Amino acid sequence: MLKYITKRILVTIPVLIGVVFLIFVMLSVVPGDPLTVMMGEKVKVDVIERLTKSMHLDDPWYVQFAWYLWNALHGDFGTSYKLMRSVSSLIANAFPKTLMLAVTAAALSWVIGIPAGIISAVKKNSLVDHLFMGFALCGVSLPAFSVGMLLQNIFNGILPVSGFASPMHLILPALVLGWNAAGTIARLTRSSLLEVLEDDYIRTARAKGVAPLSMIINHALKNSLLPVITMMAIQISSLLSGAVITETLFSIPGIGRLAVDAINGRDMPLLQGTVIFTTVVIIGGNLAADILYCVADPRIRVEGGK
Amino acid sequence: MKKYLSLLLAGAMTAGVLSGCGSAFEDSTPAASAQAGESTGAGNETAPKDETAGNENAGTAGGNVLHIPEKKEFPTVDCQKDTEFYVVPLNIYDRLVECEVVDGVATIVPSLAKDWEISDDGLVYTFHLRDDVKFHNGSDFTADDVVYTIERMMNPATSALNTDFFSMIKGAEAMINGEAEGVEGAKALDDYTLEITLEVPFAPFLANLATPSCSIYDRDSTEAAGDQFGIDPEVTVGTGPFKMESWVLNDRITLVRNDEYFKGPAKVDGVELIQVPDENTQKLMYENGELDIVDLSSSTSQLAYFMDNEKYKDNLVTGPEAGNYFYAFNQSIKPMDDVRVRRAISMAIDRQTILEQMFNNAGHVVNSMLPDGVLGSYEAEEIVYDPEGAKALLAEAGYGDGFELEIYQKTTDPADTLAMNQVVQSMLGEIGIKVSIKQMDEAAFLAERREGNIGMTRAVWWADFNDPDNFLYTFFTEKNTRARSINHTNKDVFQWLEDARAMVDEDERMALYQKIDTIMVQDEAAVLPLYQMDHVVVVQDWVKNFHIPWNGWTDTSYYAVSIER
Amino acid sequence: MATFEQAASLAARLAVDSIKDQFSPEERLEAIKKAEEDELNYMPRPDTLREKLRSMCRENKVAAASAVVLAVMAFIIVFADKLTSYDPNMVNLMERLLPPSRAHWCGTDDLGRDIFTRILYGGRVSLLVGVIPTSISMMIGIVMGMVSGYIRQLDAVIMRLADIVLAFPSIVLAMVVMYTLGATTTNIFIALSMIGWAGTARIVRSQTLSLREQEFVEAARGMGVKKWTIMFRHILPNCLPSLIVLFTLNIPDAILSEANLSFLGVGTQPPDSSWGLMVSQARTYAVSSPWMLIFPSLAILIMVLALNFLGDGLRDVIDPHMKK
Repeated sequence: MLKYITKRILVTIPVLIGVVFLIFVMLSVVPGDPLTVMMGEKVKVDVIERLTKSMHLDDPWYVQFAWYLWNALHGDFGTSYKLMRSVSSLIANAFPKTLMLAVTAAALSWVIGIPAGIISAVKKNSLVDHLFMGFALCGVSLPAFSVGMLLQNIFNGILPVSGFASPMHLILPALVLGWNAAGTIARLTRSSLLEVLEDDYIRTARAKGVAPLSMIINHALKNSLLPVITMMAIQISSLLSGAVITETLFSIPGIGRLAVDAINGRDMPLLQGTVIFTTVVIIGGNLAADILYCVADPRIRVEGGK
Repeated sequence: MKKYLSLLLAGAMTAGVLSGCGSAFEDSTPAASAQAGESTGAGNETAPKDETAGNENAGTAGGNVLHIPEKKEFPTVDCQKDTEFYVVPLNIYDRLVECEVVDGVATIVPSLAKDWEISDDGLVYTFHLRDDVKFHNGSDFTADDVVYTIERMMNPATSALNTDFFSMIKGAEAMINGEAEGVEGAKALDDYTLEITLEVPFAPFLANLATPSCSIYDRDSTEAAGDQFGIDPEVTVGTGPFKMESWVLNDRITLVRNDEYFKGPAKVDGVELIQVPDENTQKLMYENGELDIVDLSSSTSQLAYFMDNEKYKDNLVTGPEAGNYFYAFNQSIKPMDDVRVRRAISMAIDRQTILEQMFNNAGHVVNSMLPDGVLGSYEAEEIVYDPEGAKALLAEAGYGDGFELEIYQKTTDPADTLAMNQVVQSMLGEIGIKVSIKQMDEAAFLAERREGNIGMTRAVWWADFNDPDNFLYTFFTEKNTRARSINHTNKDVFQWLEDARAMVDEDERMALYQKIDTIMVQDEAAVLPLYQMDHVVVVQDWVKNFHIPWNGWTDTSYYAVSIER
Repeated sequence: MATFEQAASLAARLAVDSIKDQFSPEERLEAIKKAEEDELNYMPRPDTLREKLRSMCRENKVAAASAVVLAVMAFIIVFADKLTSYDPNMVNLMERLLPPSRAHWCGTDDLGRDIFTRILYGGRVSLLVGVIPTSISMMIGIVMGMVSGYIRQLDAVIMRLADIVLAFPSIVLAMVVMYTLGATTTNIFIALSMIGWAGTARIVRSQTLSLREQEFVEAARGMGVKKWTIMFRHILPNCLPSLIVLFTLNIPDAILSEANLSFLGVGTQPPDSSWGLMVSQARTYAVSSPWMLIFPSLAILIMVLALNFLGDGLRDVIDPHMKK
């Protein structure tokens, strides 16, 4: 087990370096530079040219890449060009917002998704099934900003529709994200429960007159929830990596917005910082999901271990 | 090695983040800051973290504090390093002189400088400074601080963006190129006498000194603050009517009154600059009384709502913007190199209809690049809407069958830019020009424009300082015409723009600027001036004495504003 | 993702085990017998794809209805120019922001354009963006996945590449691609293909891994059939059913991704419209003129919901073990 985890962590090293490398290559290809963005309308060619030199922005990308790795190795993730603050402090400022949003959204998605999935599975192909799945799927069937705008419209004046000043501000964006995640959860709950329900033994048990509800709760649900739980681990990690669109729509200064601002400002240190951070979170989430399996059932060996 | 790298990467980032956890809703609530504001006599308290007021109350207006929404977070309030956000600098620093509307005319008035003399050749400016001014940290304001401010701007280590506001001073270029330790032309004759010598005469110099970028800093504390100046409220010190008290990133900046202000204390206890990026939310918060002043000209989507609503008739404060919207044509892209094509495009755009239908008629159509209210503005000949004439011109130029044209814009432009470009697309379609709109992300757009490669595009310029130089020099000098993708080639204009700067006779100088403007707009149709908009701001009933500044900027000083409930 | 498949089968096995424990061996034998009878009598296992589809239509009416809805939508979108007399891009400032009426079924937008017409034409973009990048990304994913699963030397490299793509925030990656190449419809296809292949590759890889050990593949190998022939002739056809399901379920993702890109300003370019762009342009007017927001949202909702129902229905009958 320990060996497996170590191996998995080691495997993430090339992935992380690959991500850093990819960003350097991409940003060296994309037109635009941070200073011109900072200047905005007041473009002053002399100033830009002089500062480009003094800030070493004209170094070839591989030199910048090497410097970045060297500094990162020493725990220095640089200073954002545009926001003039250390990247770690900016991430530390943004992450709590993303974290609260993610946790609320995840909780909402379970509250909506799991019951919807169970009811749909029990009443497979009935009207109830389609209604519940339809409701859950609506969250995944509209772009987040569309759901968000509709909610903003409906709750205009009732709930705060933008910003992040109080817990009330969390409700609408969490609903958008949570509804979206609920669709996936409901689907997975339904299909894994169905699979268990349709198993020969269960059908037999049913034929033998075991009460359906207690059977579902005692046997089927317990087992079919395992994939759902691991799905949750993965979903939380993807929520933590920042919901760019939702954060933009609701003006929440979280990780996703930071990443988008960083690209738009060609702010290399900030983009590197946010992407490394989210990559670590995502990889960590996947690892946690896989470990959950191993813990739950040693018969499973992940990653092609057959 | 690799292993340690990744562990470090992951570890350092996680550690950094965890330390910031648990405080997602950092609030210095208005109530708290209002109290802080009332007790400013007690001195500089650090960021108040008063938890007694609930989070739900965040933003509730009240007390004697102004609540102002801001759409974007500022990178820094050090206005030597920023070209966009001036509201904090305007309120916490002072300049040697200010530009204010006196009897309806924008005029240069004394501020930190009591009075001044200018030598006959226009090269030497001698300023007599006030001797009763103190910085927020208690140290005296002297001529040496001004010299320091100038040298800090020109010091390569500062990485300042606004060097051009001081670069006409003798020896400034030498310092920024690393050839000198100081700026030769900036001298403190004694504590309260300052002598500035220019490289060559620069007629708009005084007006130029009134821009926020020329704010005066304190030598000792600013030197000690290093790169934290402008970021850490503790060390960001000026002489202005307000002091910076706290800055909660992505939430709010709190300013409190400077009771020692040399022009007398401000009327309000403080100003809260609250991050409210969404325009609709700004409207809702205004209606709940959570915001005292909302700038509608920068929240255009809410303009119609307030302007059409009888209820708010008396709450609107308007004033002209000293700035123009215009379309810039790129003469290095065919067929815009042909003046007849440029004129045809100008004639085919129905500016009046667009203004009425899309912008609530809140402004007027202009035919010059010098907007009303700016020195040297004049009555220019009207560019008439005449699609038939435009078609004839195109035929004459050999484009009777039309051609393809690209209009460029940024993806981050406000929604009305795209809407307007689509209207123009449709209008130009009427005379056979097949327009496509090319949206580029801001960074790519600006980079390409700097290289002179952007096609027709809508732009806007508001006065930094009150002089035609600030407009015409910005667009039409040899360097700038390329950097703004206009690419005109009139060598006379290049020369005249340099000449005009050194002219001492004001009438002659203005006449020359008007000539340049007529040539560029009327004869060459290098640009199509569109509108001068009225700046519209909605204020609560209790907000008194709020005026649109002379330049019509959103960013303004709240020194004179009072709250009377 | 492969892990979900494993999780699902694990869950099934655990359920079986837990029930096993409660019955004596005789009871179990009886139960198995009875279950087999059940199977024979009531649920003849459909063999061919066609029969599976038929059974889906019989059992899952919503999936069948979704297929019909999709066909109708496709028809309307393709024949848009025959169905409306308005020009989708004609600006008419005198008819700005009109509510729905007989003349304008869905009202007009901020530039006086007929929203119904723009939905019809915008559907073309959305439909293309759904189908084309999904096809490209799946082709890339299939090749990558098969190579990774069959040619073991390349496995690590390809899978790490897929890991990078999957770990990278996809919208950020797509934005950078659009910035680099410029915002055109073709480049949307490229950007979406570049982020979409990794998921397919993982699924195909895991299927290839199990298929390559099967007898018919080993037999082919024994007969000296070339690697690539085995992959494309023997392995690919066996992956097809799950690929069809995956395809149906990937299209909505692509449509929504395009919408997100449009929201961020780097998707479809005006005056052309896609549904996503129409919704995002409604942002300013969402409160005052809600029809600008509601109708294009409905169009997306109906199409994507139908695709999701159809995909889920297909999966239920074709490949119940696949999870997305």
